[in-house]
Amino acid sequence: MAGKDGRFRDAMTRGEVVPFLRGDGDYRKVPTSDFAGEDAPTDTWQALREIYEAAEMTPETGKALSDGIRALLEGTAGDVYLAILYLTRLVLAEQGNRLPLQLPLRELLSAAREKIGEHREAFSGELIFPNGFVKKEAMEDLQGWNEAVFLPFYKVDILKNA
Amino acid sequence: MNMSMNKTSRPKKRLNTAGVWLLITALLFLFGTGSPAFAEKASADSAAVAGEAAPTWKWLGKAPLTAEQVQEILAVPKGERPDPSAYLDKKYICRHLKEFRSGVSFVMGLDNYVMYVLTRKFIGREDNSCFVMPKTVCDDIAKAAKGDISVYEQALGFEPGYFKGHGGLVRIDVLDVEDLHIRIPSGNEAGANAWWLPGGYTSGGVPEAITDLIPKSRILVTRLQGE
Repeated sequence: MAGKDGRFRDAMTRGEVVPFLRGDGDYRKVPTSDFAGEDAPTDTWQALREIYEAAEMTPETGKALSDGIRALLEGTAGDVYLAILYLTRLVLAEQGNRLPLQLPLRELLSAAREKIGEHREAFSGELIFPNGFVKKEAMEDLQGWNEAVFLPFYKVDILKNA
Repeated sequence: MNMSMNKTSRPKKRLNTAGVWLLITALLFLFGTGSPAFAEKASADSAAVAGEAAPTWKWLGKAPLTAEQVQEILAVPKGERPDPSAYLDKKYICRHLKEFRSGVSFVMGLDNYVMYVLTRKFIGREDNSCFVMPKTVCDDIAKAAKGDISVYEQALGFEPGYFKGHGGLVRIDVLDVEDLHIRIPSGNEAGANAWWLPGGYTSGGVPEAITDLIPKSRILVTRLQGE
């Protein structure tokens, strides 16, 4: 596996963007501090930081990330949850002028809204990810992100169909 | 011990329209330039602090466990690890937890605050746990940092640039901890990651404990933008 700054580029080359985003196998990232507050199959902030670094070198990074999120949205309930987690971080980064990529966020949010209804029941139970991580009460996160991020910043209610 | 704030008591109601507008106001406040009363911007002093050698923290420590004991506990799969009372002396546990009785603190990135705190009525993870440090430790870091968020990163084991990458740092203090069931983590908690060590100290030597879910009405929030 390549060095830290090249891991997303490596994943793009190998066609492993979805495993990278999901933290499968060696792609899994663990927060370095016990006080880091995310409860997810991989540390999505570290993953995005590597993606932003890749974007400085590789113009195709934005498309690869968008395609990866779209692919997650077509996957399991866990994949959809993770796609929405990334979208939440991306919208917050955009609002804070920290997003170094051009991404079709509104289009991706609309796609997410269509998928949530399909997995509503699963979001109320346990989501089990390929790396063994178990997420409970995913719907509570989705409701929080909708209220705190998507509605205020994009006026998109991703739970409209849920 | 009071376990009344378990996850079954967590409300799942969504915000109404008025709630959403209140939230928008809060978000503009957070992502805007901020109020002087709330946003503690890094001062000119921070540059001087960043240039100095890292402070030596008087509270750094480690649990009274041998390397073999630590390895033995870590070898047990998460979810099956023993209660700390099985391998720590009762006196040590009492002494360690006493440091948390006058208040607890934790810090998080601004993005995580928006995502995991802003709309919730309770703070912590779904298994009724929240990792905290003694408030005195956070006070000590704040005093040395003088607004420089990189000092928090160094002291608490975050990666360099973590808080800047999250839009800033949010410090949360809780003074009323009487019924929060403060305890030494067993390593079975949802928040215990691959770096967790048994005995109540982080891998970087920061004293830590866990509490039950914390009612948001009880928290004091301070934001540091970092630049």
